[in-house]
Amino acid sequence: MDVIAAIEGSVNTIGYGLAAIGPGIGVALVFAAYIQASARQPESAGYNRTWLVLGFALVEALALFGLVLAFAV
Amino acid sequence: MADNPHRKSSDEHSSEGAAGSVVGYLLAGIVVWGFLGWLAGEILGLPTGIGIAVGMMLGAAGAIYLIMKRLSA
Amino acid sequence: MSGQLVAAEGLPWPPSVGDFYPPDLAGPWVTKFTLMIWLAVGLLIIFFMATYRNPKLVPSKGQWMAESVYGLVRDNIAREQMGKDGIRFAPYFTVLFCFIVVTNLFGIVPGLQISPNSHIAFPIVLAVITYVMYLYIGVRKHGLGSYLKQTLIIPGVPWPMHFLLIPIEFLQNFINRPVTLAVRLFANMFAGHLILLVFTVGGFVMLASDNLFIQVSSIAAFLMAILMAFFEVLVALLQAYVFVTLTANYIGSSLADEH
Repeated sequence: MDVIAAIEGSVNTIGYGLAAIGPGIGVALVFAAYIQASARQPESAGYNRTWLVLGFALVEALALFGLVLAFAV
Repeated sequence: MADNPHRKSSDEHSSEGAAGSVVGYLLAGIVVWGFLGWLAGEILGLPTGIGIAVGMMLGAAGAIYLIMKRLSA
Repeated sequence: MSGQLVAAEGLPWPPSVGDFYPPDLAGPWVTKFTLMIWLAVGLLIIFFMATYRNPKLVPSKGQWMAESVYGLVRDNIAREQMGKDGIRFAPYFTVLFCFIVVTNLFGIVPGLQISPNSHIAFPIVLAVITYVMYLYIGVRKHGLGSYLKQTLIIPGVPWPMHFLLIPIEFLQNFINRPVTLAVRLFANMFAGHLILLVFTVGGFVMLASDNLFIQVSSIAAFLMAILMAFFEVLVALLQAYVFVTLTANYIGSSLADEH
């Protein structure tokens, strides 16, 4: 079978690049929502920070799965 | 690395320290438990990928739990 | 479009890691980086000695500069991160801040053109100083056992969770912190030097091509190089600030009381 196209080097990096798209959008949404909430209601900023950290951590975990798997597998 | 020197009054956890340590904790959790899960999978002879997947999930869960305890308490 | 990008004579294109190793000056022990470090140390000593030779109540221009650098570090970094305890660390932080700023700015000074911090060895030494310092201060203040207990064990957690959490805390506090501290500074300086190389050397390579269109569009590369040089000033200052802020944060968390 003839080889028409081939990729040299680690394909894992492409996988990680794809895996980072979703968390990138997700982190942006989380921070955008936090900024908007605390701009509309500045006194709720401290209360919302807990959920900011939780949401950021949950989303960022997905990106880090991709990062670790890119090195591990 | 998006830390700006423009914040004046914040509580004891500076925002850059918090954001940095969220990613750090998540990465630490995923890496260390992913490694332990991989090790367990190799020793127990589980099918490839099961150990590392379970370990990474566990590590991410532990890291998120730890972040919520540490940073928002 | 028959214009081939012909590499100009003697230009290192594409830029590679080899460009970060200028030839030795005298034997393997005296490189450009050695001289630059000595230069930075000498500049700092001379600057602070000269400005503080005879301090006056109404400061001269040099004394005002030295005082405002010290005041910036003391108020915006040491006191903000560590509270009142930070004041006695402020001189060290000031010197660290100035040293990192000066060595980072070497990356864009004509003639020097590379920052020593773009070699991982120099950030590693700076990070090791911070690492040893916060460990030593924590152990001296709390004792070894209770310092480890304070950093590794979170209060108010059901005990089976500790099996899960202690490895994470250990990796974060004793391995991640110094590694990220060193790698952050190194990577920023490395990437900055590489960006400048790409735009300036790439501009010359485009200028040496045989196509008029490519030669004209090398102007964009040179403009971008100038823009990036100014951006590097920002990065140099910001990275020094971040490095010293994180150092203060770590030392402050070693000094913190048990909660």
